[in-house]
Amino acid sequence: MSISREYSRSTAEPIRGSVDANTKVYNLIPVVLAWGFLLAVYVGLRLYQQAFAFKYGLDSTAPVFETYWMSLFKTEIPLIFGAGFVIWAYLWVTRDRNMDALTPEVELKRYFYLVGWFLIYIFAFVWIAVFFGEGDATWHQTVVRDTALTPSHIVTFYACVPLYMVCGVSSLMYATTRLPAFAKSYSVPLLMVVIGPGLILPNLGFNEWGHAYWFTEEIFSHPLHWGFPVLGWTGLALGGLLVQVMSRMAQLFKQLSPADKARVVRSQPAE
Amino acid sequence: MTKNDAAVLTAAELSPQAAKWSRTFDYMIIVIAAFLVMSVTYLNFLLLAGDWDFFIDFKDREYWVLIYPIVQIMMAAAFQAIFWNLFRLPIGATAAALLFTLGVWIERYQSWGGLSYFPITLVVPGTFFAGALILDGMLCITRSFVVTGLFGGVLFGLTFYPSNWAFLAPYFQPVKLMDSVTSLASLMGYTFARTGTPEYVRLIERGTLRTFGSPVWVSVFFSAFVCIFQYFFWWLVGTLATKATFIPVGYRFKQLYGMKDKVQSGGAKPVGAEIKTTGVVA
Repeated sequence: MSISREYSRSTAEPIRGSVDANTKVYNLIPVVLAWGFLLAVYVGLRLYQQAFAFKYGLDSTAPVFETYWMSLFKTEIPLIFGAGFVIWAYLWVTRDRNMDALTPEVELKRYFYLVGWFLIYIFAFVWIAVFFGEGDATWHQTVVRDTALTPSHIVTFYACVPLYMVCGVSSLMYATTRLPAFAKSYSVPLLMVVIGPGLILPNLGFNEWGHAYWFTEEIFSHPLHWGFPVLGWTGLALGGLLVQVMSRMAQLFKQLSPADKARVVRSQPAE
Repeated sequence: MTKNDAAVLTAAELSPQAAKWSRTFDYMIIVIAAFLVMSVTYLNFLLLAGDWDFFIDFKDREYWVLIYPIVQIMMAAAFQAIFWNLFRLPIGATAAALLFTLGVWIERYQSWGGLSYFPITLVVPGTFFAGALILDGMLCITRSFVVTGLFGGVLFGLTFYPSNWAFLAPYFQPVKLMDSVTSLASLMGYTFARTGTPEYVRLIERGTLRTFGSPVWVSVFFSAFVCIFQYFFWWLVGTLATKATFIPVGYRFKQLYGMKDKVQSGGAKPVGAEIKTTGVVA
């Protein structure tokens, strides 16, 4: 039977798939909510900088610095990582303990949720890679630093980096605990995409050490900073990760399509 | 649904419902890809060449012309490889240029202008649109990354300075300052001091040949030469980045993650696993 005849036969009949036609396999509301929350946090932090960076952030020995900046630092670190541990614990405790019994429909839904996690993660990452990243150059090329915990670093490195780390590790945990392909094998691109940018936080040790003992000024292209772009390059592995996701989702799309179902029936030998 | 749409769905073995899911997935991927291109291109440039592009008086003839294209072709080539290898789309370099430009203008306004109150005329960014369009156009026509690297790489470096000349030229107007001749760009630099940046980064032009005229083309040609090798290396990196590699998880971790089927799931089994599960004592 030619393709055109198959098509005319399949479209002449009412379309019924292995899932209900009204089934929603994706839900973008959590992504929108997460984006809204992150946007509010980032805009809030930027406005805080605008209001108090030059006013109270120039002298780290001043009592107002402690009030306005160190208090922010001491609050954001436990808050962000605390929220992260809650999310990670939730993802672990509620993991699927019998993934072999997973139906294609549920698996497809979970893949959409995973892509939703990627959307949240990359949204969090772009804010530091573009927005607060160059903001850090602005601050340190303008103001002479007298501490590692400057108003720019407290926002860029100790709020933005932990935030995207939480999102990245959550993506990794979601994939590992809910999708067979990622549970039975470690995805090298996924590990690179999560661990690489995550290592930017420990790389700060080198950054601060260099600025403490080599030079306090800011030369953004100095080798002292090369760890950041090198770790950022691991983001390119998102290409390989999307190939992994796309390959499986393409199979699931076909598996859940009535056209595929009809093809299987037609290929069976006549009795 | 048109007849053509239905034929496409039949060929793709997709129901209309699945096609709708697939299209939604496409949109999600486009957003992820756009943010990825923007963030990685930006981070790479910011920390490898950012200083020479932040300020108008840092855009010198020795290093800005040399370093800017060499650094920007890295991600242009990597994303070209990713988009071309996965989707046969010759848009990687242009996407990098477009999204970088979008990000950099937002940043120059909100950060350099908004936070530190530098005039925008002092922090106008450079652009590599011309080179990016040439790279993508050449890949589209030749369908060969070798030809694109050899000729597109050269043109990427060569076109950078001319394509930035239009906005840069006015800053090279001579002005008299305390009985000395300087450029308008330098005058702005003297006026708006950047206390956290060592002055030696800016005053970098050295050499004797420049006394006899502008040696900028020497930098341009050197940059074009390096761009060829950069292109090939980063095309390779982009190609490697699209490898969908899995490493099998060990037996115990697999069980911990919820995979019960030992045979189907693959992965290494520990020594003695069969003995425990079957109850046979050796």
